[in-house]
Amino acid sequence: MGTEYRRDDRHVYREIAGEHLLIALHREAIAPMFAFTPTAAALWAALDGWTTTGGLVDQLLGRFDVERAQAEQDVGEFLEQLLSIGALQTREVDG
Amino acid sequence: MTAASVVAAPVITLGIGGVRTRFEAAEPELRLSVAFPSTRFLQGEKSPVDCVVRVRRGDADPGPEPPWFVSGGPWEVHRGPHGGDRVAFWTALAEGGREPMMRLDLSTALDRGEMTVAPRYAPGGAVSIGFPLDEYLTARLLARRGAVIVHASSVADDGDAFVFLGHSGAGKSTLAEIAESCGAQVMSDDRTVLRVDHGHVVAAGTPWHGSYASGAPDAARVRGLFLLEQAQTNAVVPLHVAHAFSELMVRTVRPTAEAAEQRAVVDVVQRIVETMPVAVLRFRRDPSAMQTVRDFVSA
Repeated sequence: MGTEYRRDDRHVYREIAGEHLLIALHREAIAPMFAFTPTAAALWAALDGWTTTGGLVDQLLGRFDVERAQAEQDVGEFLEQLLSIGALQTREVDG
Repeated sequence: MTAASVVAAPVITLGIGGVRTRFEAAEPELRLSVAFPSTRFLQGEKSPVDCVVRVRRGDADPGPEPPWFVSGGPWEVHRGPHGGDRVAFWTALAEGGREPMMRLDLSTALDRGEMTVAPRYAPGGAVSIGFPLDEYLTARLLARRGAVIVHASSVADDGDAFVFLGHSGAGKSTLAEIAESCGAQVMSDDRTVLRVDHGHVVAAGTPWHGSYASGAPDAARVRGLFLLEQAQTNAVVPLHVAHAFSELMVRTVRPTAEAAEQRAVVDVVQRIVETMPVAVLRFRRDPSAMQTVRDFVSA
């Protein structure tokens, strides 16, 4: 079994004047808005459909000059943060 | 348009920020009433409307199913009978607890509504049409038409508008009153409708008022969009666009849980801050504040 992730539709991302913002559309959010780094914004875009941690790491390796170990750490922390604010859906899949 | 203090009729139409809602009594002996300053927003009976709400008396209880959205305020949203929303408006009781005041069944397109008012809230056959019902409905209709209500006072000054954003206590009503003493006309002292029209931000007044109890249906191009901060000296400090977006977003009125409407609000706010700058206005509570505003936009 493995875990797949997809972004929740109760949040919306916008790039405004070079800043990457995640806006909560629901009132239970711990904050109305969150700032992303460019790397986080790329990961958010990759979460448009169901994907795995490995898929996200590959996204980073393909787009940024980063070592695999660093990419794995970045993806893990990012997913953890998104889960903590309720911005992710998860499902368990075979494989 | 009328400036009467109260108007009562079997049919009334309110036009706020460019959307019109007609309320029709569904019982022959029922009268619908609006009070000042909402009376300034009355439209002619033949005006084209965005939504028609038929009003009757009856059991306003929303039913046994739990709400799917709880606002934290006086209204909650349930699943309606025809796929739309059933909005329950509650009132707090002096002895504690609460009771349903009215319920509003909306079509999915928001073009029709059936409102049921508890008889206790229709004394003498008169139903008051006002806050929060009109704001709830208008905000949702505006979102679907590319506009947003913000917590801001607004004034018309020499044909243009100044908008003063702030949460409760920031000084919205104070600045509206100061501006009026300096010759401006108050469009709202608490809630303002904003939209981008032909490349310009346009403000429109609303009847939902603060302590200065003023509002008018005027609309004007915005020349200055300010976030209020009370201070000992007047100053204007420009905000970065992304910061302005954040500050404006948290001051939007969003009485909806509907994702498309929420996204529409985000889109409008983004268009606004990308169309014109937003600045912090640090102001003294005297007429010099208005001079600072005029000097800033003239510079």
